[in-house]
Amino acid sequence: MYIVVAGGGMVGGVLVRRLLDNKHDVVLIEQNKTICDKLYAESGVVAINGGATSIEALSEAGIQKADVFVAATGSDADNLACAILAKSFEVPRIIVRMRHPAYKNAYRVAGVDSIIRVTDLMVNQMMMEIENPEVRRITSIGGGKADIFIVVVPDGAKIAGKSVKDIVGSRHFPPQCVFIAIYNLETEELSIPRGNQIVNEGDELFLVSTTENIKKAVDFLTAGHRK
Amino acid sequence: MRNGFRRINCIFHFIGGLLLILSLIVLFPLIVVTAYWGQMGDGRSTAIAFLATAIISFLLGITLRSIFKSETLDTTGAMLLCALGWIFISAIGAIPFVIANGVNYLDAYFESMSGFTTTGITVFSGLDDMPRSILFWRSLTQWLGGIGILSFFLAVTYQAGGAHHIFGAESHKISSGRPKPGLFSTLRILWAIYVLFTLLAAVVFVLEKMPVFDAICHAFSTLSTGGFSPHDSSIEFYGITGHPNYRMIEYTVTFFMMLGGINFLIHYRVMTRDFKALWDNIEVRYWWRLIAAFTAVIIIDHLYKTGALSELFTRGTPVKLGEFERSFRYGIFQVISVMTTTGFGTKDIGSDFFGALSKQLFLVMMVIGGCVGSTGGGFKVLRIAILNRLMFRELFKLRVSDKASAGLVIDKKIVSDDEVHRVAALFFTWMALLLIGGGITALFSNQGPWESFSGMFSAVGNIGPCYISVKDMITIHPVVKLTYIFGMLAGRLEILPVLLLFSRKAWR
Repeated sequence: MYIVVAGGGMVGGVLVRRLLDNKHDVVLIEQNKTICDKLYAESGVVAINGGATSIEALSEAGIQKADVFVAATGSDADNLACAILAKSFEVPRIIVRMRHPAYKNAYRVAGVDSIIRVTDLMVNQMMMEIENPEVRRITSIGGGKADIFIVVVPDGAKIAGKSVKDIVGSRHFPPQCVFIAIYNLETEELSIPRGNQIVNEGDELFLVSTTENIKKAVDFLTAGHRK
Repeated sequence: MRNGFRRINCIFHFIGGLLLILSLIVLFPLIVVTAYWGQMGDGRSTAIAFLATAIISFLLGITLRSIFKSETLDTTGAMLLCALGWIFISAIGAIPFVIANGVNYLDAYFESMSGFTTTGITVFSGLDDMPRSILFWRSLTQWLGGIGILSFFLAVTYQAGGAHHIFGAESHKISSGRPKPGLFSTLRILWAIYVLFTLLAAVVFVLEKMPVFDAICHAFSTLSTGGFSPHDSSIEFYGITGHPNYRMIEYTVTFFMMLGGINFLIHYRVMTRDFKALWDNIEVRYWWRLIAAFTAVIIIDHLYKTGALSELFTRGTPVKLGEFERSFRYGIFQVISVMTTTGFGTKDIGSDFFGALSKQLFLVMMVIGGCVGSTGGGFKVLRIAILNRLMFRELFKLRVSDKASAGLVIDKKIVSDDEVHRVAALFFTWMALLLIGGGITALFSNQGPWESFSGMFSAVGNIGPCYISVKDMITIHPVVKLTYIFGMLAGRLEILPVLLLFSRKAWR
């Protein structure tokens, strides 16, 4: 895909590298010449030195043929302005990084397809780390409404030796949570489980669950035998 | 003298010092004289030759030091010192050849300059019957030349970042590459690695049953990527005379030549268990790839020439293993020998063994040369990498907007345009020098156009062998010899310091 990214800061810079790794055509627009040169030298991205709110810089970046436009500068005003400009070039998908939630409506009016608030994502991640340290979150889906995550079955867990069917059938296991895969670290065997698959100690369980049910599910899966 | 040529004072003071050191070093061959007293012409005459040289060197050194007083040396001064140092040391180092071999001074000076610049073009033949001490001295000059070049590299890069850094291409390397702070501790490390590898090479050669004298001489000229050998037929000698381990010897020499052609700072990093050093910078990656590519092409070219390849494709007869091993052994030996600018031979690069394509590639390798910070000569792999990137950079610039960043990136850092310009200018000068030298050779000899070029390629790249035979080289016109002497020095010091010699402003 042809992607134009405005702003090469923490978010834009890392995004550019990841996109390049996945073989996308990426053009970066960044005001600071030093940052442009640094990102160009380290990743080889086409880095246009200029303000993302000027039509000139956007056309230099080839906004006409862009499939996606990402506004990731540090200012909501700038993001809004360049998102509108991108819209005027009929870019099919426009994604913005929102700093202040008060701008949400303005972005909607401008016709932005996805609004991402970096702090929300970070806070979710932190909540997860605080509440369920044994869980490794892989990704959010549905705009943060649900998560895909990994739980390791601890030694002496109550569920060890039980089948998936039994676990899911338990009344303590939330119904909005589903097994995706089970990975055995020792045999390096990955299985997509059906009901009669047995869960063992040390297995990595891949699950998908609505955000509010993660804690309940994890508590159940990691609970040990009462002594 | 203060207002006129101010730098003369300190430069000649230091040269006096160098000559004093040389007067001691030139006594070492006396050990060989004593060991082989009465054999192959070693004896009183060779002893006198080295003693006389030591005395001349000592007296000249003392005189220079008493006339000229020490002053601090700036970069331009250091460059001039290097250029003049090589000229003076070679002049003194030539004396034993004149006294002991009775050759004229120009030939002796040619041989000596070829030694101290670690080139290895020789105008001597009948080496196998020469006094051993003279052969030892030839190899020793190359080893000393290697020490000189490592010190020169460090002195130049140490100054980098200052106002005068002429060798900018290396400066970004050194900022991260210099193993320890301080010029002298780094110098000690480089020297220690050099000495260690030389000892190691000598020991391995002896273990492979090479005669001890040969082993020492070959170790000296392998690590310095010089290429002088005590035998007319170079390393091929062992194959011809049916030495039991000649294959092993050839592979071992290949390995140690390769060590000599790699940046010594990389050796240091590997020794400190930083094995990533063998792959994590652009120069060393180019180095491996070039060696692999050239070797592959030369093997294929040879097999194609002998018809083994068409046999394989038309009738499906596989290439015989022995035949393949032989072409691999000769191929990789000669590729590394020329790339590192050593110039040993197991097969003459002009012989029928190599096809026309291989012979063209040898000239290309002569220009590329070894890595920055090695004892190898040539234009240096890093600079070739920079020029290669320059081409792609220009293509990139055509494609993108002129507001896009388009610096020249080496190892994820942008190289300043000043440095790129310097490399480009140096490359142009290098080519101009090759053309002029080739022209002079063609004019003053009866060599063909191809051979004439090869001589200057070999001299400026500090290689050794070329498509002019040793026999023709001995009798070549003195003007050509002078041209090659200049070429060897210019190539060794990467041209600019030598050109400084002709600049009146630099002397002030």
